[in-house]
Amino acid sequence: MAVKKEKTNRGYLTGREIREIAKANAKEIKRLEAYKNRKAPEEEFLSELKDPDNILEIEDLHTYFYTEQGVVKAVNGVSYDVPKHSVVGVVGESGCGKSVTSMSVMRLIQGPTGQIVDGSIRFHSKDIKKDAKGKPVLAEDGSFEMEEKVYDIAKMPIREIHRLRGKQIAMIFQEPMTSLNPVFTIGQQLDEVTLIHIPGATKEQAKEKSYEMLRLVGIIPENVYKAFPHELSGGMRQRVMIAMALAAEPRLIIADEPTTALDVTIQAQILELLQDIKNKIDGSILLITHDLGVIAEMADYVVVMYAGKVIEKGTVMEIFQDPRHPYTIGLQKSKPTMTLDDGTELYNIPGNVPNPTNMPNHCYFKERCAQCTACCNGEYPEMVQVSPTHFVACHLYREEADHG
Amino acid sequence: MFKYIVKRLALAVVILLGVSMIIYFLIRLMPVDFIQSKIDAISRGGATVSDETVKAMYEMYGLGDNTFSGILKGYFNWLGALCRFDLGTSFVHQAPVADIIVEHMGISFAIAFIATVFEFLIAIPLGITAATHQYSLRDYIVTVLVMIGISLPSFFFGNMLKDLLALKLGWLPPSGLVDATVMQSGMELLLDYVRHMVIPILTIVILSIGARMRMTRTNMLEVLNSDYIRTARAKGLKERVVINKHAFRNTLIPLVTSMAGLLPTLFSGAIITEQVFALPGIGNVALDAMNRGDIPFIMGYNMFLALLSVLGVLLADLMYAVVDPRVKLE
Amino acid sequence: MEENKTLFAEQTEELDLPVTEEVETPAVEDTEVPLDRNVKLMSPTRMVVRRFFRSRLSIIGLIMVVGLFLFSFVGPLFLAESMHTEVIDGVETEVYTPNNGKWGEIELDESGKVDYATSEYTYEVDGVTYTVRQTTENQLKDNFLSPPSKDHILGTDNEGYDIFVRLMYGGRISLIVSFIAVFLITILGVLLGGLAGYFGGWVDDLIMRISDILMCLPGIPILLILSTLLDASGIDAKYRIYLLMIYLTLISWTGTARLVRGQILSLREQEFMVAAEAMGYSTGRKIFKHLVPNVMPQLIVQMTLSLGSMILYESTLSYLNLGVKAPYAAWGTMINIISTNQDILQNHLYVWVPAGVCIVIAVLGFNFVGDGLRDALDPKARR
Repeated sequence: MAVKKEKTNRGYLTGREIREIAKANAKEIKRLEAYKNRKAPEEEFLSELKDPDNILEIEDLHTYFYTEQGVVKAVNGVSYDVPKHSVVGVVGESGCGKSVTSMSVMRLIQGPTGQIVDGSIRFHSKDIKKDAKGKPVLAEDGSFEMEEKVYDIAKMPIREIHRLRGKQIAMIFQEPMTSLNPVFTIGQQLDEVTLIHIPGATKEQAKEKSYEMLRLVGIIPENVYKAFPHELSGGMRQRVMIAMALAAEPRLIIADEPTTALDVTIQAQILELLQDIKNKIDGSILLITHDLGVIAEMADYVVVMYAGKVIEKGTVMEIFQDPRHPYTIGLQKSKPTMTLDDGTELYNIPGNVPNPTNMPNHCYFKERCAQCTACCNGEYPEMVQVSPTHFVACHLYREEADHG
Repeated sequence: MFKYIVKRLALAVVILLGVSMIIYFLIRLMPVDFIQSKIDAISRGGATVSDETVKAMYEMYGLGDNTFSGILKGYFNWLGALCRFDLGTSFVHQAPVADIIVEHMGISFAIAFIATVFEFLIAIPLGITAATHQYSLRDYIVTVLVMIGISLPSFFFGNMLKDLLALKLGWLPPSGLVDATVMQSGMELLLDYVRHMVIPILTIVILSIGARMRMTRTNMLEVLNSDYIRTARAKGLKERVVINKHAFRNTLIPLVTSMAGLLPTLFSGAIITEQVFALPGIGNVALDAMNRGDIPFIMGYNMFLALLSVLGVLLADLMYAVVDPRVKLE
Repeated sequence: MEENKTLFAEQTEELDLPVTEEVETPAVEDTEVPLDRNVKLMSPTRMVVRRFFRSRLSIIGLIMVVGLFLFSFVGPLFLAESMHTEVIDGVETEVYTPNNGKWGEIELDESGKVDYATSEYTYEVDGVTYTVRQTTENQLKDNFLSPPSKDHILGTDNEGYDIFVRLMYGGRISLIVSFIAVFLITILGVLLGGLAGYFGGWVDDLIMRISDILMCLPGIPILLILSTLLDASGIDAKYRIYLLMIYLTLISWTGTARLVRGQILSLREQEFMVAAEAMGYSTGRKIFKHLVPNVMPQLIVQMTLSLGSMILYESTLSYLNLGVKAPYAAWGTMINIISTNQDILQNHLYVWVPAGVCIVIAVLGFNFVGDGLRDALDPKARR
């Protein structure tokens, strides 16, 4: 009887452990919240890009969730870049931290539990120059004078973040059904974007811009401008969300699983729309999805994430034609195709996604991996460069790199 | 829309019928000699209850005839009178019940209305700050205040305030509506009314503010966790605008709806508070009537309250459809 | 049924096998726990307990409630034997009282207050000054409105009852009455709400219409009528408050019923109920196995919160002199006196303030605990 009891309690935390976790969490959260809510001069969060061709550089980002059951390291040292005028696809199973990374870029992580702990997110912004009083500076020809700056978003106090959100970086969310405010009309919500981001914009100008954006996403503006969100279908709402994201002509659009919640036919339409927009706008797209098909169709570069870490990144050709990491290989094998009708079963990666609390210092994919070797018990593998643009974090390729 | 309202009205009629039945049969449970003794007591108290009035009441409610058909007949007699807005004649006041209700409703309404305005003006901002600063010291203080407000019994708190502000410190008059010892008119009289109403209103505000604050806080928290608030933030709106425009407009929905539910509170009088401060409001009059066995008034007053609650529910439904664009009356 | 069970058992065993064994891997030790299961979680009970005790308010509430219970139920036991001083022949003597103390629930202090008035007269006779001191002993019949003293910790009221002792007994009545009422309300509410939610159709319609009607009944005025009814039927003062609370139960079950009904309706739609149906579980089993545990947390919270409101109701009725009547007392009854006697309101705070404080502590305590439980049991709660 006693033995049985012990067995059922094995996976549970003891009272002392819980108290220790709570104490440690409270301390960390207090420190990080104070850092987040501080007032700081602009110089403190200005930065330099490593490669001026990039628009966004994420380096060694750590975003943790301080829960009662321990610290969940949802993003644990992620680094990737988004070059100008390109689409970067981030792919991975649910819970691998791909959404949390994008939320970190927007600084939308829900505090006080969720916190950006370390790392930097450098973003190249190009905005209307403003004088000390916050008035826009006009150039000689009457247009707004622009200025370029590189901000480190991770170090920005939360009160400054509205400079970037919407205007510089826009986001399209996963849940179109609930992402629009139910009590305002589509028109009101769209106009708002123009009104807050274009200095001196009148209501008529905002309406004109909203109409233009709605047309761009393939909606007849007259039909929806005065409608409330609940009167539209999911696909229509996602189009409105896209129109809203585009309204301020952002330099980076983050699309967080934009098609997941939609019907398959609508998915195709939305993807086509994104594809179309990609060609029309002068900006980059960070596309987050678990659907390899979407990535193949849209992306120029691919980042594969697993358990809060980037395990492989490269151009779309490299990842699809020459995948290196056993996980990436597994992912591609588990994708159903029409050609596979010889009776072979669809491949699936054995095991489950790890829970990113208390991770050991070895490859997280180890026990699900078919090519696991003795050295996998060692330290977490470092990023290995296999081509100028192709990186992989796996012990299998270490020698290859060593040999050059 | 039309069909919906008709349906709701039909339901309201059913509810009112049910309430009237319960009230009637409760009164019928009283032994006749007990009623007689109460009437005698009223007569001894100075007011002359004419035999005619008593006889009219016996007839109206069918008292004394305890056969099944007698009870039924009595009930329908009374119901018929109700439908003609005839609530009978009060023993104590020797006047139609409806007239007395109308006469004393004004003062109750004035107090309740002013108190409600203050309640909303204070509770909503406090509730919102508590929600936006969840787990902070501010939130903590608001929560404790909420709890204390909900937990204080009105008779105790009202008397405490009366003792402190009126009797001990002598800042304000302890009870009544006007100072009867001096002749006053115009502005002076109005000011005297105000002075007399300060403590009662303060009592009501402090006691009711807690529940409203809690409601605002809970709703605000729910709204703040929703996806559309995240969208509003992602748009680049400043936090102030996110809360005061996007979140507040959504929090308003249950608040406005709850306002309709206040209908009974506004007109029915705060029985306890009016009793504590000896205000001639409808609640106090009703309490007095009940203590003295003024049956026509008791029945009339209860039906009046039931009508107000039914109207309140109906109004709340309509308000909901007005404030929330998602709701269509069907 | 048996087959199902064994099938499940096999499956779980299969899942327990280390994954690494399936694929042939060279000499990797698989003694470690797989990564998706290496996390230690908090047991659900512990989580609830922890969430409850994390809030300082719930702890304060718990202390208040437990304190009042001890005061009301255990307190009188200590009165059973007590020593107190009495003045016998002008000398203060310790007196041992064996039975129920000197001041019981309904015993007046008739010992009276001995008052000594001393007067002095001076007169001269033949040049000699004489001083005469005269002491008068006044014995008052009842020891009423005496301020707090050694004999009466909180003094006595206008009738001569010991306030401290009466607070204890009043607490007994208030607490017992509200517990009974809440208990009955819950039983009735669960029963009727369960019937309405489970059977639906006309049963549901009927029960819901009745609850609509009851919700529109004015609360205190109806209780006032009922109280008059009790007066008319000449019920013993000791039991009338219980009857009143039963009436109160009959009109206030609607909230609980709606809660239970709503829960059942929403649960019926959920997958696990469909699954239970597919497994062929019987009606009763479905209810008890799946529905009850889902309704329980909310029910507990509601019960705790309504304990507070029942105490408020009871004391309001008692304050209006409609609840517990003399010689018995509840907290509300003890405050009643100030509605007619402004002297006590103004000058003898010790008569009515302690009772009010007791009511506030009780209601506040139950509200704190209820709120703490609500947060602790809320599955959506984070942090």
